[in-house]
This record gives sequence, C-alpha cells and structure tokens, in this order.
Amino acid sequence: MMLIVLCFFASEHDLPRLYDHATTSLVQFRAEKDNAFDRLVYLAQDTAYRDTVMSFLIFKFDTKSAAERHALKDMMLKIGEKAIPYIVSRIDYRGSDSEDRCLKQSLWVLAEIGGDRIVEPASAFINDPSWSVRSGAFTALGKSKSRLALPYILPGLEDTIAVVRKSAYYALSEVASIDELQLLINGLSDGHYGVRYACVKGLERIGAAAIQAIKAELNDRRADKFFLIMSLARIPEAADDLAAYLSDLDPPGRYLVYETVDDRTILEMSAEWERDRMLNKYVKAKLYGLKR
Amino acid sequence: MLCVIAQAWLSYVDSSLAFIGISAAEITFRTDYSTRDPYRFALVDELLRHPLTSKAAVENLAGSYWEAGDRGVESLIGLCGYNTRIKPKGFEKTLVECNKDLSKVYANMPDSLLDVFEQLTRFAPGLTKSVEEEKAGERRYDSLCAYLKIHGTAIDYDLLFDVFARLNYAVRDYPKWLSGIRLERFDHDDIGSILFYEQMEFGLVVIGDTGSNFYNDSFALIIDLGGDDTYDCRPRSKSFQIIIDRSGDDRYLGGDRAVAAGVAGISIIIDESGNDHYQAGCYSLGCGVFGCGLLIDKEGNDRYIGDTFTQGAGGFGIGILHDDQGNDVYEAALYAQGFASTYGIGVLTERDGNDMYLIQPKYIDEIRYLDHYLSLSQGFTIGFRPDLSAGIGLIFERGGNDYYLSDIFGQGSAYWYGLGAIIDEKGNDNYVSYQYAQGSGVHIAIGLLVDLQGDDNYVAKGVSQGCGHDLAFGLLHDVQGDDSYVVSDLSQGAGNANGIGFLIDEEGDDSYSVKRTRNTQGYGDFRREYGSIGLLIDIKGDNAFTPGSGCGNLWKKGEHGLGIDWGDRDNQ
Repeated sequence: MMLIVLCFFASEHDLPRLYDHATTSLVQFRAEKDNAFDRLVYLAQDTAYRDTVMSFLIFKFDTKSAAERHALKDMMLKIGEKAIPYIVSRIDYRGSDSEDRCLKQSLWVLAEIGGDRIVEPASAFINDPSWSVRSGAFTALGKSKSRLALPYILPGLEDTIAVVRKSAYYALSEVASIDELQLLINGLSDGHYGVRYACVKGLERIGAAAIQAIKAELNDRRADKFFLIMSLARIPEAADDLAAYLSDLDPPGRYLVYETVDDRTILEMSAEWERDRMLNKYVKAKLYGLKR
Repeated sequence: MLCVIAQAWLSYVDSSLAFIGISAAEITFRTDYSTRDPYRFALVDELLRHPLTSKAAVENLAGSYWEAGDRGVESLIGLCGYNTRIKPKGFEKTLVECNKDLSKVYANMPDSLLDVFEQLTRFAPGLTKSVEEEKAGERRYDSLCAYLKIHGTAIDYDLLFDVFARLNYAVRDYPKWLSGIRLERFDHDDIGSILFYEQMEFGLVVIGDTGSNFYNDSFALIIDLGGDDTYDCRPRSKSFQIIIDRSGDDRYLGGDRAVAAGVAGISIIIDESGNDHYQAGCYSLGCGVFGCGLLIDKEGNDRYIGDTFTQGAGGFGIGILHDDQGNDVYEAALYAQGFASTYGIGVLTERDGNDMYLIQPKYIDEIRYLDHYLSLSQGFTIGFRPDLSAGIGLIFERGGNDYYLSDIFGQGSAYWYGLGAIIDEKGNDNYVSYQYAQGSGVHIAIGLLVDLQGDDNYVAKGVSQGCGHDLAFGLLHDVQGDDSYVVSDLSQGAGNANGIGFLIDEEGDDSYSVKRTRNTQGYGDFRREYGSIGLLIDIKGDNAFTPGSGCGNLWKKGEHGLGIDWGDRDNQ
C-alpha cells in the first residue's frame, strides 16, 4: 500500500522536475517557474506530502547555485513557521564542502522566517569558528525580533571581525530597550559604519527615552559627533533640540541638521550665517522647496 | 602626472564620504567571502581590500606598459607574480631554448584540459530549449569547473611566462640574425617568392620576399620582407610561432585557434606597417589559453574581426593585442577586447587613432533578456562562480576619438574576484552599452572605466556608470572635458547589495541624465543589514542634473548614497 502511495506521489508530483522548473534561471521559462514554485509550496503545506517535500527541499540547501538558494529562501518564506522544524533538524549539516553553504542557507532562511522559535537554533552558532556563520547567526537572532535573543547577541558586540560585529549590533538594534542604551551609544564610535548605522537605528527604536543620554554624550565630546546628531535627528521628539548644536558641528554634521529641520525660521537664519557655500545653497534650496 | 591627478580627487572622496559618516578607510571588502582558489591574482585581493587605490594601480600599470616600450609585455607578465629574468642570448639561440622549454611547460598537461576549457567558454547562439537542457548544462558546468580547478595547475606557468618574455625580447634581434643568413630568391609552389626555407632546430622557418605571398603551414618562424601577404597558419601544439611582416596590406585569416592564438603554445605576430585585415574565429587575435598570444600592429588602418575569446583575451594565460597607429576597427561577439577568464591576463592596447570597438549581437542573454546579447568584453573579466576567480582584463587607450559598443557586461567591468578596466587617455569618446558596464563591479570584483581627457558621452541602461553590485566596487572616473552621462536606473554612483559604486567627474561642464531618480546619482540600498555605498561626485564645472535628483548641490539617496556637485571647493 505504501509503495503504491509513493509511486502515485512520484508520478503526480515529480519533485526533482518541479524543483528544476521552480529554480530555472532563464527568462523564457518564467511562467513554468512560477507554476512549479507555487506547486512546491502548495505540496509543502499539505500535511499528506509535507514531510517528503520539506526533506527534499532542505536537502537542496547545499546547492552552489545562487538562483536556487534565492528560490529556496522564497519557498521557505511562503511555507512559513511550519518549515522551521525541518530546517532545524538538519541545521548541523554544514554542507558538502568547506563553504558551509547548507548551514549558511539554514541560518538565512530561519532569519527570513523570524520569530521566537528560531532563537535557540540560531544561537547555537554564535561562537562558530567561521566568521560568516557567526554573522549569519547574529543576523538571524536580530531578525527573530525576540528579546529572548538578547543574551546571545551581547557577546557578538565584541567580535574581532567587523562584519560579525555589524550583524550583532544589527541584532541588538532590533531587540534593544532602554537597558541597552549605553551599548548602542558606545557602538556609535565603532570602526565599521554598519555598526554605527545599526546603533542609530537602535537608538531611533528606543526613541524619546534615549534623548538625554545622547545629549549628554554630545556635550562630553569635542569631536566625532556625527552619529550622535544623526541619532537625535531620527527621534522626532528631539527635532527642536538639533539647531542648538549647529555652531559646534562641522559641515557634514550641520548638513544632518539642515536635512532634518523643517522650521523655516531656523533655516532662514541658517541661510544668513552659513558660510559653507554648498550648505548655504542646500539651505536655500530647501527653503525654496518649503515655500512651494 | 597620472599619480598626482589620482591623489587630488581622493580628498574630495574623503570630504564627500564625511557627509554620510564614513571614512575612506572603510571603503574596503573582505577577500574571504568564499574559499580562495589557487588562481586568484594577488592584485585583485589587494584592490578589494583597498578599492580606492584601484585607479592609481591601473594607471600605474598602463604607465609602466607604455614606458617600457617593446618590453611592456613583461610588465603585464608581472601581474602573474613572476619576475622574468631575461639574459639576452641572441635570436636563434633563444628560439632553440624556448622550443625545448615549452615541451617542459606542457609535460604534465592533460589532453582534455583544452577541451574542458572550450566547453566552459563557448556559448550557443540560440535559446536553451527546455529547463531539462538548462539543468543538464548546469550539472555539466559544475563538473567541468571541478576538473579545471584540479588540472589547471598542470601547466608550468612560471616557465611559460618566462618563455613568452624571452621570445618577446628576442624578436627585436631578428634583423641582426637576418643579416647573417644567406638569402637566395626562389619560387615556392605554395608560398610564392621566398628567400629562405629550412627546417631548423626550433622548427620550420621561411623568409618571404617583397611579393605577395601566401603562408599556410605550421611554421615556427615567418619573416616577410614586404608585399600584400596572406597568412592562414597556426602554430604546432605546445610549441611557438612567430610571424614578422615588415610591410604591405596583409590579410591574416583563420578559423578557431588561429592568428596570434597562443592556445597551449605561444604565438606572436608583429606587423610593422600597412593597412591590415585580421579575421579569425574563436580563440584568436592575441589570445592566450594555457599559453600566450601577442599580436602587434605598428602602423596602418586595420580591421580585426573575431568571434569568442579574441582581441586581447587570456584564460590560464596571457593574450595581448597591441596596435600603435591608425584608425582601427575591432569587431567581435563575446569575451573580447581586453578580456580575461580565470588566471588570465587579457589586454588590448591602442596607442593612437580614432578606433571603434564593436561587440556584435550574437549570443542572447537568456538569463536576463530575450532581446539583449551577452558581450562580456572590453576591459572585462569573469570567473566561474563560485569555483574559480576571474582574471585581469584591460584596455589601455592612449589617443583618438574612440567609440565603444557593447550590450550586457562590458566597458570596464568585472565579475567574481577579478579586475576589469579601461584607461582611455585622450579624445572625445563615446561609450554605449546596456547593462553591467562603464565602471561596474559585480559579485566581489573591481570594475573601472577611467577617461582622462575629452568631451565624452556615456550611455547605458543600468548597473553602469560607477556601480558596485554585491560586495563589488565600480568606478567611472572622468578627469577632464564636458561630458554627458545618460542612464535609466541603478547607475551613476550606485551601490547595490553591499557594493560600492562611485561616479567621479573632476572637471568640465557636465550633464547627468537619468530616467529613475530614486536609485541613481549617488544611491546606496540596504542589504545584509547594512548599507551599500553610492557616490556621485562632480568636483568642478557648471553641471546639470536630472530634475528631482536632489536639493541644491548636495543630496542623499538611501542612507549611504550621496551626490555632491562641489562646484570647485577651492574657490568657496
């Protein structure tokens, strides 16, 4: 009986053929691709076929083809949380060569699905010897958007590899609360711009509660104020405070202020005293735009 | 002079990057996104780590090449990491030694290596008929790449490049050797009027008279003293061929693996004057595949016609096409005109004249469009992703008003751990392409288009004109002249998928036109949880931008995209 079911399944839903069509790279087969893609997702969501289809698809995570990897990610996203246990069941398999493609794909797909359930499997790789696996793990923790991820994220903030730190700070920015305020402010001085921008995003997320700490830091610093100003500029409640810093800022810092401020009085005053020709033009152009 | 100019613009880059809170030191890529294969060039790693040094590095390469004169080839060989040590030994003795050394170069070469490489680098002109055919092709591609990765090292490249340099050095001594040979005029049934015909220790030698001769045998050495000659000959495998033609309007003809085709061997053609016609098929016209090919044409208005892997193309070897003077036309279909594949140096160098570089539509780009064609040419390189790195593909253009035409992938672009670049020094030039062109780095690579002088036109559709896509660096840098830039989208200083793209124009009154203002003229998207970087910097001049691009002289697009029209900062 089982054999009959399997034969029926194979003839009706030739998985390798469906997969090939769902992952074609060629533009002339676009319609076939879309049909096959939808069919695979449909089968994976059907309880009768799910085990077989998911096992088949996850076995393909090792592919070297970028087109297949993207298609697999898109399929898993469509399948959603139901895919997680299948991915996790094979997450320890790194792949058939030294590139760890299977593991990286698993982490990527988990990240794209997100949610509390991915925290534990992703956290298993935060100390991996491969920097790119660690980076993938931290990214996944961030994409979980779960506070449960926080204790696993914190060690990554000290990683010696900048790209990994970037992922860890990104993760922090996604789950941060007021308790992580100082970590984010510290990160604004990191040597990787990805970290600094992630921290701005984290501070933006914390919002008005971060304003005083940012301003205190601004008052303490003689230089390197750019990302503090950017952070303030991203918090609507701090918009009125920005103009006060204009005289202490270099042109890039002043540009951030002019970019944010919509108060015509401030801009008109700035148009009077701004000596940087380019910024002066910018302010006047902005005023002209506001008038229109 | 070149280096001074190269340094001046960097201060503007520093100042511009400050507006998005990034330092020049952060313009860098890791080189270990995938395991390093043995064929990647050290220069590529270096430039990925320090992309902002790319322009100076390529300018220095061009400068060294031009300054070295007849020995410029050695500066290109140096890119492979080898220091050639040439001890002059005279023309004939060098040829004898080189012939013996070449047999050592290929002693361990598997018979199927060339065939595997050809299977990977030949395209069918028609569409793939089915998904099954496509997937079978992908599986075959994987196994061929695996074979190439393992067996590509079977060649003694150190010795190959050394032999190439020695032959290139020795050919200048041919007049002295010629003067010591007893020449006697007689008619050869196949060739015509000749002065010398002999099987020497290094191979068959013929010296032609000043009449119109026809050569179609596997000579090791042909010296023709003049006349309008026709050549239809190729070297013996794993050996060398040298053709020196002193004058006349000559025709060099052949099918595949012909006309300065160093395919598992070395082939050198030096044509000293005349309006010449070079026509061959694939793997031709200054091509090196597991070998080295050098085509030098010193004078005359010449026409070069080839198909695939031609006109200064190298893969696991060095291919050089050098033309000194005259208004020349280059026509090809794919992998041509300063093209490099894995472990290849492909260079097209043009000293003077108004030249046309044309990539004809032949091989449809069925991954992206049904109505556009792959070019993969003109200062371009591509590897076999993800297994094998690309190489170094270059065009050095010194003078003249030149015209460049390609479609998909071309004009100072690179794909997968390689460097593709054009340095055009003078003239009012036209660059026309469609996608992935004009200073475009794609998938961890460096693509540069540098134009130093002239009022130039740049036209493309997208992913062009200073665009970095996927951890790659693309730079379009125009130093002088009133220039015009026209694109549709994702171009003119655009970073995508963590790429870095710069469009830098130093002087002149320029015009920048785009269809989509949202992702052009200084744009960086957000991918892998951080930003791509795109900069459009115009340093001097009275410039015009598409309305809607920005506010005043300064605008941001995305967090890490910036356009700045400095309008001569020094006079502020």
